[in-house]
Amino acid sequence: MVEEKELVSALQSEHQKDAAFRSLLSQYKERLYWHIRKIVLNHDDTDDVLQNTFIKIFNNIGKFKSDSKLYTWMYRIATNEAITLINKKAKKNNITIESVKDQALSNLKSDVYFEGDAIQLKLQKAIATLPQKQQLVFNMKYFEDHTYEKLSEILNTSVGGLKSSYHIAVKKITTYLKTNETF
Amino acid sequence: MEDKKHKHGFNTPKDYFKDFDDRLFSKLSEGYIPKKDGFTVPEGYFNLFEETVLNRVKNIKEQPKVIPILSRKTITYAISIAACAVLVFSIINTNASKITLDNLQFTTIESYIEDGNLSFDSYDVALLLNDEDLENLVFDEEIFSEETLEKYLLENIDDTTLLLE
Repeated sequence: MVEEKELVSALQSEHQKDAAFRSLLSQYKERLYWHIRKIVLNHDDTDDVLQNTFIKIFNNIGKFKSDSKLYTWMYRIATNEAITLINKKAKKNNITIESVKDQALSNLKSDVYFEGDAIQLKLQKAIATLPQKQQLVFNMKYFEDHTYEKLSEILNTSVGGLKSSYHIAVKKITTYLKTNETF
Repeated sequence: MEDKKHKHGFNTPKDYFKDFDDRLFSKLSEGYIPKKDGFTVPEGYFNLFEETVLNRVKNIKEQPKVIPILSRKTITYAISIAACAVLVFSIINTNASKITLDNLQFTTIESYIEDGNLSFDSYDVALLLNDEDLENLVFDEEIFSEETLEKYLLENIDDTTLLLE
């Protein structure tokens, strides 16, 4: 893995930008994909958001200041793009954000790119009951290998706040899974 | 712990014991939560994805830069000029609005009508009024004082018997 500082300076140089961008793509595409997928739930929307995220990264890398981390910055862009997509869908169809998420959830059952069993489907329903921030914290902590310190930078929240968010989320999800035994 | 005879010298991270219960509970709870989320991607998606993004980036780079006819600076100037014009106009307009009907001399209005500039006769005016307006019209009963009326009748009516009545 190329050192982040070197990668940033290569991305910001005229001659090395293309090669550095390829490297960035191969390093982060999968991680960002799974991060976005857990927010928007279906593959096609994730693909759109991921493409837009990388295009934004490419267009704005010149303005990136190395006082924050590239990794953190990219996750922020991806998170914002994913939330923006949900908001746009709600506005376009004149429905609430919750309705957009409910629709995405109900489509999961027939989604060819969701191979989860009943308990995994129920897990997604349980996650959907959480507030947006808790959803993010839970997904990023439970399924990904982020440390609280990195999460704190990405979500702009204190480590203490994140820890309590995560524990609350785990409690709520466990309660949901225990109490909603059947669909 | 402090009254122990010997100190072991070990330490814990800040708030370790404070968070311990929560962390233990979360670990226990996680047993109920499936380890995998069940999402998959189409075969070969990530390889194709790189190509797709690189093509989009290539297209962006090849697009000729659009130089707007109106730069931000020009637009700012135009807005400033328009704002000034509106300001000047509103000042002038404020002065103009001071000229009201009240300020006009009656003689001016009279001469305006006498010169034939206002070609309304009483019939035209009556047409503008509806029945209710006509009913509401209050005729000034004080146009002629009793004294004036008496004088007029004395001078112009010969029949004295009529006056006696």
